[in-house]
Amino acid sequence: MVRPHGRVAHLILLLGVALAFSACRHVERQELPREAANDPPDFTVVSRTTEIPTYPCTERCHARREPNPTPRDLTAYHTRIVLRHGPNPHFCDFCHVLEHPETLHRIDGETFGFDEAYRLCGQCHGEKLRDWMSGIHGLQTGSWNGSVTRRVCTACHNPHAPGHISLESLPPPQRPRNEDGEPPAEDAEVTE
Amino acid sequence: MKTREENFRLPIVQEEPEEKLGGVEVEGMQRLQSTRRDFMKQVGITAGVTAAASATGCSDATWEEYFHQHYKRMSDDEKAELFAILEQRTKEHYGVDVQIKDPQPIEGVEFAYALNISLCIGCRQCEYACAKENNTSRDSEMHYIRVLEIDKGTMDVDLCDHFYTGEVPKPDKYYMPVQCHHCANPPCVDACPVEATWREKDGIVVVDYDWCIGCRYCEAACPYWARRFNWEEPSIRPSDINPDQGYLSNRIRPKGVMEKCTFCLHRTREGKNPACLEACPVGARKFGDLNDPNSEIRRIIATKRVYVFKEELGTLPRFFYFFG
Repeated sequence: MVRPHGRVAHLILLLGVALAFSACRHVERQELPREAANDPPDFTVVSRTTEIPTYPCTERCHARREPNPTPRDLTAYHTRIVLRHGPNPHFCDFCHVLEHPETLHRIDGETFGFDEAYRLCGQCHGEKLRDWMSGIHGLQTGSWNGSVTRRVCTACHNPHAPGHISLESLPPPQRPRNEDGEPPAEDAEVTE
Repeated sequence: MKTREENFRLPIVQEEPEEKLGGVEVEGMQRLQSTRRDFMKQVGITAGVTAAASATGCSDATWEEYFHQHYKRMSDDEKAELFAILEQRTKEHYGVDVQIKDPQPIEGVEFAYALNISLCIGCRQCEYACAKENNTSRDSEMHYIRVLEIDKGTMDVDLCDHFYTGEVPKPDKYYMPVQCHHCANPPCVDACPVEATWREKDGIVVVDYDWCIGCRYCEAACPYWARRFNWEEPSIRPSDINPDQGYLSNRIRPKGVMEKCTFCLHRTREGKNPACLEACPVGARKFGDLNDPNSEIRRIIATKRVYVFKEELGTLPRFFYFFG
């Protein structure tokens, strides 16, 4: 036979445990400040323009040749560019200002050069931009307590067809050898 | 309970104990110890000079070089004297002018490292940059960083492979570089029978290479396989020697001692980044001050999913893996 006040006590105990459990489960997650992306950077960015041989585009070619904004496969010029970025098919003028291709523009109408390409990328990849701005994403050189140098997104990621970086790995360490200088037999191999 | 400092007694040359036993016995004991000490010193000088003369062909080997004090007990003058001798030895042996420094911990700084496992592609650039920076022996391929290739879907390091070759990253693998974790509770330090390794104020676990007896207890104690033993005389081409050296970090180590990652303390204590960080082509490595709330390392720990390798051992590493 179960006494009624015993049941109530059980219920209260159960409720208490549940409450305590939910309190434990609630972990405060600190977020990076959202305004970080709009603050002027307090670091040096390695310029991209010096690395692009055909920069500035207008001066080099497009003053004489008007860009064609019709989506198509590029066969005459820019043949190395394959557009494979994002779910919707778009073309040059989605990111480049058609009249001055060395200028980039955002959906909100802001324009800037290649060295600030991160502002363009950040309109979709906001989280990555926040990480990059706060030094979490991307190769950062310089000093851990002083001046810092970063690379813009396009220094590592191909903006036209982003993908994973793939490299040939440097040689592995030698496998352990026995007294005769021979590698140990396969069955005697130590996994560590 | 004695503290670590009180426990710290030298096995060789030692100050005489003062009035420990009292009376006549003390006098006699002191005389005895004194006599023995003098005798050992004489033997030491003779042996040291003889060994030096036969080993390096130098006749100017000194007591300071062979029987100098533990790093912590050396005065600044003794250090300067010893560093000059070590620089001279490097010059004689390799024909390279090096500078041995002794940068001290920065007040209020505790170093920590974070590595983004999501980004690491396992290219081993860090491993080789580390070897170059730290003057490690090339023939024995002594690398402080070991890059593990692990199947996606498991975190069991027993199933890893660190002898992988070819193009990386492979589609079904992820990569996890392991080096010294500079634990706040380092088992290697506890294992050392002669106190040749200790944790500095800024969190860097260092080794006094000249005090190490090479027993390899620390290697066995380390759960991260981070310590390396010099089985043979280090082999480095003179042109490969990094002349910017620290006494507790990347000076050329003798045979028969332990060594490991020191967070490049000769660089980091002067504000630079570790060599492995600068070498990483994907920017997976982050380094900074754990005590600075605005440092990247703190932001990572506050905002990312952080994984502490073998957390259950209670070693409190200052090396964090994160995803993102």
